[in-house]
Amino acid sequence: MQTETVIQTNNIWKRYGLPFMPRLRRAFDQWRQQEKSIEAYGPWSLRDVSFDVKHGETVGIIGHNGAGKSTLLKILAGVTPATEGEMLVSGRIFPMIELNAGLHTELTGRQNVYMLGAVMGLQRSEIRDRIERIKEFSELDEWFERPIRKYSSGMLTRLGFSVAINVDADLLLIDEVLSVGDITFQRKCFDHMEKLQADNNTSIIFVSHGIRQVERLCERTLMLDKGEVLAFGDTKDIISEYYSHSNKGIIEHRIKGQDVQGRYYDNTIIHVPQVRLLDKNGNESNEFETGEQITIAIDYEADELHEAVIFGLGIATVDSFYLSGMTSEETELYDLQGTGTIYCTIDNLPLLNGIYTVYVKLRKLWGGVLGGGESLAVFSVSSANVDLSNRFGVIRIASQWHTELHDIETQQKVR
Amino acid sequence: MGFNNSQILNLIVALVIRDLRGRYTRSFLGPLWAIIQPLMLMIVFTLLSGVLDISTGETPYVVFSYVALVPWTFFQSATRGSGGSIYGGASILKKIAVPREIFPVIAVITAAFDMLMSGIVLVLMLMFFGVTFTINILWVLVLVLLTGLLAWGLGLGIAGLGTYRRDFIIGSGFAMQLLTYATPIIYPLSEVPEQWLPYYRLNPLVGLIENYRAVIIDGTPPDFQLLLISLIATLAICAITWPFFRVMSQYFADVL
Repeated sequence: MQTETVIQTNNIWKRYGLPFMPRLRRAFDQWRQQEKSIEAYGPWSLRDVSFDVKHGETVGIIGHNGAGKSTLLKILAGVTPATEGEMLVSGRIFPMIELNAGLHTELTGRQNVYMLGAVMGLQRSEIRDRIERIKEFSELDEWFERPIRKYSSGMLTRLGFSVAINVDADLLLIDEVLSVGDITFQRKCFDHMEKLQADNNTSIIFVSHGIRQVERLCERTLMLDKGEVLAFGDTKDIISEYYSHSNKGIIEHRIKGQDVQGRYYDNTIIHVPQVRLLDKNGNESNEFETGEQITIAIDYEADELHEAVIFGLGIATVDSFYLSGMTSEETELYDLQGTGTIYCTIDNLPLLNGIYTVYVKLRKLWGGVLGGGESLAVFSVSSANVDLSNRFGVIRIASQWHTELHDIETQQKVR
Repeated sequence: MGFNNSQILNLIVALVIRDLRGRYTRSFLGPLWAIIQPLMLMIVFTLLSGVLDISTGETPYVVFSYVALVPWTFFQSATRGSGGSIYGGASILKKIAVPREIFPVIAVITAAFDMLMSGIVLVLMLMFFGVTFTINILWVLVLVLLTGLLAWGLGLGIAGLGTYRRDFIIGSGFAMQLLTYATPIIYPLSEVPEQWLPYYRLNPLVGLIENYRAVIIDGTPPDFQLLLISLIATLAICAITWPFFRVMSQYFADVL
């Protein structure tokens, strides 16, 4: 792999809008010899951002809303200039920032493809050569000949992306485009990106909220917060940092009553006032490590007697992807009256880096839901103790390996 | 980074096609609308001329005014279109680093297509009134080019300011209406009082409109003195507005 640098930004600052007045103010302050720090001439959308991208590399940019991800992409795309600092780019940049640039709603998909192609820098003949491939990739079939005002938003994205992947650029900027469209299409786009990565000729900058996508695609990651670089480096390291950072954020939010809110089921008969998470020493915590013991304590309040109650627990990611569930059905049925606590212990937590929420459900053996709710507890898992190469994904699956030698030839190949 | 020349040209062509195709797809009259505007103005002014008693010599007033109204409508819609073109191109220029000048260029070209439509009506009308064309008619190409350049230059100025403060775009519409009366469109140059003429002729449109009449109706070569004034004024306007636009356009994406 070549290690030539294709993008290098040095101490970039960005303030939106016309720069004349702030520049004048600064010059005036300098003249009066009362120069203030650069912070005084804000508001800054980016502060002192430096990073680089090597040839053939995929770099992810993550951060919360308003962290400056899109601003940085716009500067890289040359759409808006940096207020301070310098940027060096070699090769042809192609920004895939929302792909509907310039579409005309009254024109058909085909007519718009010619238009989009021109916006993306393709000649008419180049599009003509590729139009069938574009049509096929977009999976629009007969819709391709219809005015795009009739399209759904997913169809528009497919149209745009299908043109975009046929542009040969040295550097792709991808901003959240993969978050729309159905699963099969997303899959296809990922495959295409992975093919580009394998060819090692295209460098990719990938901006996403979807931390899992970044984890999968990017070698290095830049983490932004409020316009500043929080961290830049190997994706695996950054991911851990991201989780500990957003864990703080989520817990803060939870206290303020925003974000990952617990939600009780409607019309519950048994109340669950709280769900606590305990570590191996019985202390309350919401930070755990992979492989650690975790005990989930469910407090309940039952006004009258309920016989044969089953407790169910579910674990999901913060974006509500349900991972696994367990119930007390096989071990015990509980008769509940008054208040009490039920404990469920997981000896060897198989979860990897991430933030997870706990669902609780109480129900009758042959009946409906009695109580519980979604996201009643939130905890983070750190995998710092896990070997780097086994740190991918959500769940750690224990495995054993062995070989069996069939003949000498294979044995030599193995060597 | 950025587009090379052939990519820019290709983009301009694609966007002009998009605009022309898209504009009338759901309208009943389609491109006929382009003819209607100068035609309506012509009828209004012809009716007015009866009241105001404007003398146009041997030329019927209908022909006299329509010959001026066709390029005038072109100038007006090209300038107005250029001024607002940045808003129209927002979805593109917020994402792709193309030279922002192309959006006014596209507005001028689209307006020129509309003029082509009403130009056909003009030719039919001239034939009906028995106007004979001479070789000097070819000067029309030069005049159209100059009119387009003037509209583009003014449009750059309006867009450069108007993208930040919409007032300039709205205000330019009013200015355009006033300009209709400061240009010999509905009256001949000979009606202008002698003492105002030196200032009056500084309006680059005076030379253009007068020369459209000269080369089309009279079949004579253009008045070169007037043409020179128009040329210099147009170039001067562009020399100011273009660099200005270049500076302002860097930050368009920030405010759109």
